[in-house]
Amino acid sequence: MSTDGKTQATPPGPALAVAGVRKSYDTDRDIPVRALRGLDLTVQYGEFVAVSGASGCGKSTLLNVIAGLEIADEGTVRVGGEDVTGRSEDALAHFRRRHIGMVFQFYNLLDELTVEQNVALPAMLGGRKRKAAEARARDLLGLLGLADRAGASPSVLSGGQRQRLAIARALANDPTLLLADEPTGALDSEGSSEIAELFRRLNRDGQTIILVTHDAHVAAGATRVERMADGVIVGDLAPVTDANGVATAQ
Amino acid sequence: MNVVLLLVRTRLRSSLRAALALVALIGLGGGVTLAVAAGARRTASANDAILRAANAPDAATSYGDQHPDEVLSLVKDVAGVDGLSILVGFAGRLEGTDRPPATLYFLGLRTDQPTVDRPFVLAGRLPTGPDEVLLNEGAAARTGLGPGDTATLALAGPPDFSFLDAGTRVGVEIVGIGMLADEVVEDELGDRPLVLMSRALTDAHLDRRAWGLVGLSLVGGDIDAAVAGFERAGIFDGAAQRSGDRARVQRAIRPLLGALAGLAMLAGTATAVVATQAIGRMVRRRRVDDDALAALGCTRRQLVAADLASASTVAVGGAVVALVIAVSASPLFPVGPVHRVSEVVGGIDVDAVALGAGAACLVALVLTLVGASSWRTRSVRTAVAAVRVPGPLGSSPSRSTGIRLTTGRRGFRTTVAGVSAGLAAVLAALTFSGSLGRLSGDGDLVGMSWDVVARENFSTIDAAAVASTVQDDPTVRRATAIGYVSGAINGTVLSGAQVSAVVGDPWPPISQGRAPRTRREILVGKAALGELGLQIGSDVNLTLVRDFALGPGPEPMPLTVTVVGSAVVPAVGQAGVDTPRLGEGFLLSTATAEAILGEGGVPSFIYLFDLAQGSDPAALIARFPDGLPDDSGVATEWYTSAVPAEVGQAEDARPVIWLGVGALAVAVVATIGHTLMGFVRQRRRDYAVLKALGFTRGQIRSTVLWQSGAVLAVALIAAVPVGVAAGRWLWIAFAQDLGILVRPVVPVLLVGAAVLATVLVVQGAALLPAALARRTPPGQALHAE
Repeated sequence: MSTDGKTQATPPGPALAVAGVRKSYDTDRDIPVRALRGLDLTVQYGEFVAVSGASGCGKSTLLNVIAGLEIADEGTVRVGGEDVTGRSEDALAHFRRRHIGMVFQFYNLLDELTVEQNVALPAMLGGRKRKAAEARARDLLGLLGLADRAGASPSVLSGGQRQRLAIARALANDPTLLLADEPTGALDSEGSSEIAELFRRLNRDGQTIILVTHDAHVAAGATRVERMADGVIVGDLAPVTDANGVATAQ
Repeated sequence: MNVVLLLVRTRLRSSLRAALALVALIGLGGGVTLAVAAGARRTASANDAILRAANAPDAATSYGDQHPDEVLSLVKDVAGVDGLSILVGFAGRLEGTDRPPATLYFLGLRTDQPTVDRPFVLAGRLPTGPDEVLLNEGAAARTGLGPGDTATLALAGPPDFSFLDAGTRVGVEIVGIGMLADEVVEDELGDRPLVLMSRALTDAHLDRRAWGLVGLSLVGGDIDAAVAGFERAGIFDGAAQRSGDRARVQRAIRPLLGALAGLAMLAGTATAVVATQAIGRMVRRRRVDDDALAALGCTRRQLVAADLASASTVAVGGAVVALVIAVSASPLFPVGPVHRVSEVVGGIDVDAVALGAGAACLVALVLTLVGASSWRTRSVRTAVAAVRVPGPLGSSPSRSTGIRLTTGRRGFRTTVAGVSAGLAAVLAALTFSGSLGRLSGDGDLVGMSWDVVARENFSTIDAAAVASTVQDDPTVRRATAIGYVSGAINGTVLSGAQVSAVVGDPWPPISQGRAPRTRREILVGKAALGELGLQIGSDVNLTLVRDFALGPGPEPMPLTVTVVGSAVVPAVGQAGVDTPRLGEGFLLSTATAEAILGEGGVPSFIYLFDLAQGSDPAALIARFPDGLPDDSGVATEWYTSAVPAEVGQAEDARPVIWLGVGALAVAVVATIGHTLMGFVRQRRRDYAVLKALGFTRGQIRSTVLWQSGAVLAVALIAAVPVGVAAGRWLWIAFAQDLGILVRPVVPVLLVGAAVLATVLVVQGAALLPAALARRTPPGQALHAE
């Protein structure tokens, strides 16, 4: 998400192309857990895709594989035209700096850094000098309504504020993909609405978002809802609202 | 109770490896503490055990040329006497060996099986036959003789104690090598080469006796009464020796015991502080469950009890390991020459009192500190942990992040305090040991500011001939003559020394005040000043004793003198005479001695020579090919050092002290490494976040190294000055107690090397948790609460 008002040209091809991805985990009983079983998913630039499914169906594993935090056993993952599979750990770290912004259910902020420093750190990793990184951080915090808390510790923020900070951090390097894993899972209803609206706004401004959620209200803001079960995408769901106008997923 | 036990079992099971590592580290530090403390007790008691085994005399005196049976009849009425030994002294030498004749001390037994002052037989047996003798180790070394060898015993006799009379020679057989109890702890120059003659051999040559020794073993221990009894009996015309072997030995080993106690204290403090901090961290890691447990109905007491129970399993486990280490290390003690008497001391020793009390104190201290911390931190519930956030990020993400992950966390200060305390203790021990190491190399510290000692016993040395030989010798910077004398200051009996200038300034190193300039000025040893309650500038009444060594002369006249300074007296000594050494006794000039005793003052049997830089002592000795010029033909003893017994003891203890310091350093550094591993384990989530943000593996490694570096840097900033200051303070206390010059040194190279080694080892050890952090799979950590 650019803060300088310039429009960026959309590169050719999809933002994300996942094909035939399999991922298993070994357990203590030597029976592997197959988290992903040949999953396919394509996301175009500017889409807001919500992925829903029962607990343990592999949603978080999917996000980790896309981000390069875990390596798929089989299949390919391409983000922004770059093949993620088969890369070294350091290469994946560089890849994440350029293409990935992650938001987690439990924020995963660094309490020892200030609010501003939490956002500046990834900007510095992305190649900005310290002052430029801090300026970028202030801009993002301003956009997300946290400018007045720049010098505070994340531990003194409310849940909704922490999640906004996490989103600001995720946007520090204008990522190709914004990945969010249950971003409203630890928030109350007011906080959830606030975050859900924030994601919709970011998408309207052009940010490509893949969001894992159980929250139908959050999923309702997506342009597409994919349902996952047993490690594969089983279909997309159009967001609907009930008689009271509350968004529900099918 | 069931709830507490369940919590303890669960917590220990989940952090078993960390707990076992802590047990090992506490065991090592505690083991050093207990081993050294128990070793100090054993060293003290071993010397006592040897003295008891030998039934060393509580009081002793020498007597003149009286017949020993006459002395026996006079002594047996002294009150409280439980046993006595009477030895007859002869002037003699062993001939017919392949070594040059050496001055030896011949003591004749008056019984075949002495009950007081029993010799220890190291090889062979006690002499009983009419031609049998036993040598001590010094005599055996000088003569090259051993059990089964024969030699010719030449005894000098009255009136001139000349060796020219052919009738004085008798063939003898060496039947054993032995040691008297007082030889176990003695000055380097107190190492008398001794020959013990059998009773039959002694009785056959009583007409050749020159002097004698009476030793009393007392019931009730009233030494003053015994000494008064000696004087009333007229055995010794003057001040008898008050310092029996027990008192002398205890005085000599006290600095050694102080050094060992200091090391034990440092090791114990470091172990307790580091252990408390490490166990406290282990306990606090489980604090995240507190809210849930409290919601389930657990009380604060139960939670604190669970903390204490967890801590106690580690503390008790560590104490058990410490006990095993201490017992295993016990054969290293007692330290010092006392080890030679293995029939009395040596081997595995279980000092139940020291070990039990020490282990209990360690456990109690750790539990008290952990319990207090646990109770205090649960007294206030805080919804949000306030975290101190320091200044702006630097230009390096891994450096900035590493420092902030460490310094911004609660517990940083206690971690640094624990690490500082451990490092300070090690540096204090190194600083003290560095100063201790100088003792043997810097004679000035122990009053030996000369390079060569020439000593004869009770022969008349031609002082003018000595002076004419060295006065124009450009290699001789100073030459001093020493004569020992007994005296009293304000009625308190002390030993003293007359110091005469042959060439240059005669005085030993002055520790306070200045050297005497007139006959009304004297020096008093630092310890003696304290005992007498005097200060520099005090006026005192000085009297001297005219004993058999001074020969006949006018009655000594008391003199009022001023104490103008304090000096460290070299531990040269003279056989059979109580002599001042280190901080004991008094020093006076020839003018002062003559003012009291008359013309000539005190005869000098000892000459000290200070040579120019680079001069060879052998060249000086070669200028006296027949020894110091005298009228008796007694061989001159030449020495190039005069190490006091205290220093010798401390020197013998140096390997053990260095071993203890090394073990302590290993324990402290290992505990620091263990603490850092805990840091990394606690921050799995943080490293996963950093990876998600795009930190490479190298940046993760750098972050961990900066984390450990931050703790180490802050700890060293505090530990270096505190540790060095503590080491200096310990050394100053040690030196003052010893009565030597107080010149604390900071072994800069040693401290610098220790700091560098600590940084290298700790940062090297941090590579392991760094590798773990790099390999931490981020996925699960990021999605867990």
